Amino acid sequence: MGSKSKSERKESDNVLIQIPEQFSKISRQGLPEVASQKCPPSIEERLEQDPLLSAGTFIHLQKTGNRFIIMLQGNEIGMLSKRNTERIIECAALGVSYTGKIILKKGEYYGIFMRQSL
Amino acid sequence: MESSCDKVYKLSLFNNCEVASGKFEPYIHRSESLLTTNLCDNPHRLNVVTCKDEEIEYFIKEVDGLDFDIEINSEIPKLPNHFPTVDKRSALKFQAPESIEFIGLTLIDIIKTGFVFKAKTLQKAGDITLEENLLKGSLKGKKVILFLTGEDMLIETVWHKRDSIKFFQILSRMGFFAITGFNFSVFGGECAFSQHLNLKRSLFSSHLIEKHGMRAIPHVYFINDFQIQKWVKWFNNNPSVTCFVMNCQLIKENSEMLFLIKNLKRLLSLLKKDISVILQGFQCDYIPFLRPYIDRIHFTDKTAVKDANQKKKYELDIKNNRLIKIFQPHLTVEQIFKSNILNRKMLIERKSSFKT
Repeated sequence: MGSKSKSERKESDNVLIQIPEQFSKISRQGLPEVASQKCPPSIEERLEQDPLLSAGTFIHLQKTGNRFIIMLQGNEIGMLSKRNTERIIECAALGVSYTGKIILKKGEYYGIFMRQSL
Repeated sequence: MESSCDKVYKLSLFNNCEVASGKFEPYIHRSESLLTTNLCDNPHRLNVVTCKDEEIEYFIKEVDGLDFDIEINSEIPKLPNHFPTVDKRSALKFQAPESIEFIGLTLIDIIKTGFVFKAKTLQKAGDITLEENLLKGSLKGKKVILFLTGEDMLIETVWHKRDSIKFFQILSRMGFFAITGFNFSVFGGECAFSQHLNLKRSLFSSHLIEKHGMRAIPHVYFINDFQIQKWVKWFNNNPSVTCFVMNCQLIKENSEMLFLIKNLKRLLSLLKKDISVILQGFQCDYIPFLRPYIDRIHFTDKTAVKDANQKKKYELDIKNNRLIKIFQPHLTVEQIFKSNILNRKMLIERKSSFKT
C-alpha cells in the first residue's frame, strides 16, 4: 500500500496475512487463514433507489428473521442476499465484522460493506 | 553510558508493544516501541504481523531473521531524471516514443489472472498467472523496470504464493532490466515489530530477485530516525548498491509530503553521494523542495498514461510551469499517450532544473 507518518490505511485495501506457504503444512490453520477464506474484503448489495440516498452515508445492518435488513437512520433501504447473510453470520462468529456505506455506481446506489477485525 | 533513546524509554510508563521488553534487540531497539500508538493485538493478522502474533516465528524464519544482513550486489547504471511507468494495455498495444529508453511497469500489470476488482476492493479470485509475454510486444528494445508495488491485497497475496506460482522463476524469463523489492507497508503508530519486519521482508524480496539472476533495486521506506539509521548501515555494508526506490503514491497531503521530503533529505545526506533514489508516484509540484538533492533523484509515475486513457492530452504551459489537460475525443489514446509521456517528461525536467 505505501507508507505514511500516521496510521491512515486505505479502508478499501485490507488483507488478512496468512502463514508463509512454506510453513503452512506444519502449522495449524489459525484465525487469519480461516477468516481470509470465508470473509471477503468487501461485499456489495444494490439498494432501493430512493432519491434521499446519498453517497458516502454510513449504513448498518439489522437482523430480522433469517435476513439482514440494510438500514439508514431507522429506514429500511435494502436487504442482504441469502449468501451475504450467511457470510456475515459466519464471519461474525470468527470475529470479523463489516461496516457499510452508500456508494453511487453507474447512476445506481449500492451498499458497500468493508471487512473489519474486531 | 545511557543513550538518549534509553532516557526517553524510561519516561514511558505503559507500552503495549512487546518491542519494549527488548526481546527483539539488537535488531529492533526497545525505544522504537515508544512510537507505537496503536494496539498490537491483531488476532486476524489484518494488514500486518505484530509483536503479539502467535505464529511470529514463522514470519521471522521466512525472511532469515530480523537482521538487515542481506547482501545485494546489483549495479544499476545511471537512470534518467524521469521515465514513464505504463500500464498493461499500453505495454501490449502502444509504441512508446523512441527517445524513451527506460519504462516502468507495476505488479498489477504483469498479473494475468487471480484477482478481480469487486465491491470497491481488489479480491483474490482463482489461480494467479502472469503475463509472461508482456515485454515481447511494443516494449521490445526498451529497458523495463518492474516495480513490485501496489495494494497490500496484491503484494501480500503474490508474496504468499510466490513459490507455488513460481513467481521469481517466471520473472527471470520475462526480460526485465531490473526489478524492485516489494513495497510492504510501513505506517507510523503501528507496531514497531511490524514496521521492522516489513522493511526486512522488502529487503529479503530484493535478495530473492538477485538470487534468481535479476538486477534488484531495494525498496526502502523510513519514517523515523531508527529506520534511517538501519538503512544507512545497510547501504554502507552494500557499496555496490547505488540506487533504491520509494513508492510515494499514497502520500497526498501537504504535511505528509513535507515529512517525506525531510526524511528523504536526511537519508540522502547520510549516504554516499553516488546513491540515487527513484521516487515512484511523487507529486511533481513538490520537486523544488527536494533541492539540493534533485541530481540524485529519478521520477516515475503512471500519470501520463492514466490521463491518456481518459483522452486528456497535455499542453505544457511554460509560463506557469505546469501541464494543462485538454479533453481530445477525436485523437486516439495512442496519440495522446505518446504526447503525454513527452510533455510530462519535459515538465519534470523543467521543475527539476528551475531556479527559485
